[in-house]
Amino acid sequence: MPAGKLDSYLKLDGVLAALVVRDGTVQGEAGSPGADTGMLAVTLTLLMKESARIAGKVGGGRVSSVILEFGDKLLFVQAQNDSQFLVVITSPGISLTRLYRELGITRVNEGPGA
Amino acid sequence: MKRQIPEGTLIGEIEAPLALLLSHIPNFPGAIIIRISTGKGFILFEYGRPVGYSFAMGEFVLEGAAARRFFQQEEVLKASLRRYSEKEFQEALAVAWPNALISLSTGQQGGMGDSSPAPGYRTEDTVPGGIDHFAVEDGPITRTQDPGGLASADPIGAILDRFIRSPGVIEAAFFREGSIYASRGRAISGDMAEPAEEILLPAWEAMALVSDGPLVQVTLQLADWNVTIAPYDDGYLLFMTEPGINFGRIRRLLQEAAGIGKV
Repeated sequence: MPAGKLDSYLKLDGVLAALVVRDGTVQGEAGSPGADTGMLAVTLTLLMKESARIAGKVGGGRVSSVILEFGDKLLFVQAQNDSQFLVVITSPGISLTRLYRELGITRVNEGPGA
Repeated sequence: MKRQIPEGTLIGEIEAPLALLLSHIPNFPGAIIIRISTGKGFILFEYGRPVGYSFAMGEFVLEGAAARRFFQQEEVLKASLRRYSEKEFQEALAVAWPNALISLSTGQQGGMGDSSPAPGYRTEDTVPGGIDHFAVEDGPITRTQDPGGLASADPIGAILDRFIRSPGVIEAAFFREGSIYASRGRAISGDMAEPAEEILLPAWEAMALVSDGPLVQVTLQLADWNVTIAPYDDGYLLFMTEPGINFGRIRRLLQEAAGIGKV
């Protein structure tokens, strides 16, 4: 993903940082993740692997994204292919509907207030 | 032989330096079990702040501030977070009394041994903003009035009943320590608890890296449905929803869960 694309996410209200991770390493980043992005990349790679394991258990198809919501931040992890994902770190309470729209992600029936 | 502190309920495991562990002390009574190559110890805490430290290397035991300083010198501590009931916490206090204790909300303090704070180390402020760090009231999930008069002697059952009656919710369950304790809707397989707990480990690690707030929820968006896991009481709520459900509705369900049984 071009660096300019990641930078453009920072213009969205509530977005603090964005990074692309491939095979457990950071391929590009923008903004202020407030963390060691190398460690975060490894941790989120494990998270995606465990998510795939749960998906296999429940037979719900492949993992499209994982949302980690904390008291003061939200991490949106969007799978781009089997080995690469986009991470967007936002302030809490952000509208995911708007985030999906801004990121160009289509979710069925995502209504207002999401 | 010195008595052991209670096992408590396993909440999560992490490898991190002491400062990071102390900055994420939960808002309930419990202990952080520490394992490093030379021995084993614990940090006893209650409601967001540490109250005691101990570390044993064979027969040699460090307690109180001496143990804390020892932990500080270690680059990384292998830590296991345990939640205590009040009874377990009292048992742990009895084991730790008096030398391992550094500060108690009741004004009790171990008066023997090296229990005074290190220079520049304020026991009351050990955790920057630590009080209520893990309280749901602090995050986007806020305590609400009991939405349907569901508060009862079985708040878990009431929450699951509320969830399963909500449009878009397919199944709901409560699990802890690798077992499903209650479920509603299409039966959630008992072997779901283990992978659900395992996904919490990287979630906790990510939290330690980027956040000072509590873990509110983990939601997996799959092709066919969503899976949400959220801490509740001494375990976790797990529910599956239709893929088109509004994420705001998932948040509202968790808000309601925070209200049920606590009002």
